[in-house]
Amino acid sequence: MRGQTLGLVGESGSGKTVLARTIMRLIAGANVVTEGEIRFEGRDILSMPDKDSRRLLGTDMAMVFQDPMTALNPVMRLGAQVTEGLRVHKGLSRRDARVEAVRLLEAVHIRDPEARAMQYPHELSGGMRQRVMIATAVACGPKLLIADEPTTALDVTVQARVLDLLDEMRKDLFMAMILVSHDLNVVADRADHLAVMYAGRIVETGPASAVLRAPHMPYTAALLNCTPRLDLADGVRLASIPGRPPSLSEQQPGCSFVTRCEFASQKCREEAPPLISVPDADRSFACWHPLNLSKRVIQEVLPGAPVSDLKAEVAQNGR
Amino acid sequence: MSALGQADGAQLVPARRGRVWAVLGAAVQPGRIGLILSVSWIALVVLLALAADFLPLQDPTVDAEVGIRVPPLQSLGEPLGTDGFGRSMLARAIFGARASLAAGIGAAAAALLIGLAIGVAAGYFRGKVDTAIGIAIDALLSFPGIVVLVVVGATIGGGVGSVTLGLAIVAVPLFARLARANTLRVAPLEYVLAARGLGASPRKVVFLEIVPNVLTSMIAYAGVVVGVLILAESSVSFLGLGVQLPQPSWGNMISEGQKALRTDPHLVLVPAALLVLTILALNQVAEYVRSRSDTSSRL
Repeated sequence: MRGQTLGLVGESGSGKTVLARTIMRLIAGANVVTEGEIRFEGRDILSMPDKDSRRLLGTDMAMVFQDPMTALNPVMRLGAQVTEGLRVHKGLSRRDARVEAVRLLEAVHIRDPEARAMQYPHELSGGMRQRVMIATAVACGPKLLIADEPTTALDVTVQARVLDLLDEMRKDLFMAMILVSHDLNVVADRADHLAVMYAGRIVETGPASAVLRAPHMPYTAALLNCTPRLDLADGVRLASIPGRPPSLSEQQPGCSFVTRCEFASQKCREEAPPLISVPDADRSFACWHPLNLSKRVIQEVLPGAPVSDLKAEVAQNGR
Repeated sequence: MSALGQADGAQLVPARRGRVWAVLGAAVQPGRIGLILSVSWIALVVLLALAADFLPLQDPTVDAEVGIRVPPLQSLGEPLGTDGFGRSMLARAIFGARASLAAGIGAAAAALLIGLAIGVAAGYFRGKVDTAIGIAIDALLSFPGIVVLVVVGATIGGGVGSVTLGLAIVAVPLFARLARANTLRVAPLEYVLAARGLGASPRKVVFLEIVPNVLTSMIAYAGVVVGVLILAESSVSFLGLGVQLPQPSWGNMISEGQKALRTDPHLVLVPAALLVLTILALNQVAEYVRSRSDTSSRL
């Protein structure tokens, strides 16, 4: 949705970056998606011919990469770099591009933009480079901006400012933004909607505040428990999720979170839950034993779910 | 409008001039004396070779009646002495530089361009293209370089042109491998993805993102290869397949002179010294280019 932010969270290796790059059609070779579709303004991006998707990339959707140290071409002046999209799509002349580059660098609050435009990436700090990346991405005024862990490689002190800048750009250009992060704190304040990923699948979605207040999927709940909070008593150890995410190359039946879930049942081992929509709530989850839902709703969306037998079943399975 | 134009110009020109001076200033530092000497030496040799026709030199191919095998530093007219036919060693050395440099630099430049194209194509497209190019390169590499040179020399005859062609053929696989390896390194980097994410066509990605980043290391390597190729030209000429007598090249001068090494060492030492100095200088410059363009240490 234009002007809104979708936060995409999940731990390392859960497929956030792959999803982001798939949307941008930047996955090559053996990893090409063969199933499903990704819709952008009603058109399926994945089935588009290369030529059409290239016209879309940069102009309608753009991406800010995780590591500003490697995402800028080390032998290209920043001015040329920032206006690359403009020159590809709008055929800007060299002269116009130079003027535009200075304007763009100014827009992302880089001081002395004239001089900076003539410099090379290694002459800038990480935070400044990420600003340049953002300027590059928004140069053509995209409708969708995908920010893939834009602050992970930066110092904590700079993170907030880069996030503020992204927010500012989103408002100014009325873009939709997908903010990818493994850090719930980063996403919590800035996202309107949340999507939680685990082992390559989306396991819970919904309005950010609702998901954070009352998660349905045990994984989301566990993730929230791992977040440091100031109101915890002294000496309380921070929770962690036991075990590791499953290897996606050896797929097993059942829920991918089953080995780490405290609510896991026999059904969880046998059958993977689909993404289930909650009626009247704009939320969905993939779980057989959702949390924070009234029995009435559970009965409605998971008919025949053995809610009351949960404890017995867990005991049966020797846990 | 004019005010704007002036402001533009006023800003750009000093900035650019400032850069040039900054680079020169950085070059002129103690510890860089070797580099300065090297650059000066290469410039001198190249200039002399280019201007050989206009210099007051004797014809390097015509025998003289008198003054055979004059040692160096004995006659004002012939500071480097004369050879067994009374020909001026200075003239022969300078005209020889022309052949040696043309073969060395020409072959290296041609091999760099062809190797770059082949290597980047192999590294970027992978798959069948990569396999086919890989097999071709392996096939070429399986012949000893000297065999290639002999075959080329025997097929189209001696002379600077054929030596240059032969040397280029020998050097192409070296550059192609380097280009392929660097393309494999660069292609998955995020800035290449970022360019594709901006909708850049494959052509733009290759020429703006990959080639410039591959080229720096290749230019540095070329500096070393030029030295090797000049040496190789010497060997081919030494074998009698390269530049044909009486036309001089450093290689055939050494080859010719070694017959009289005992009695008249200057016949070998003059071209050999020039060869050694030039190769040393080229290596110095190549090393400097490599250190300046090594972005990995400055990211």
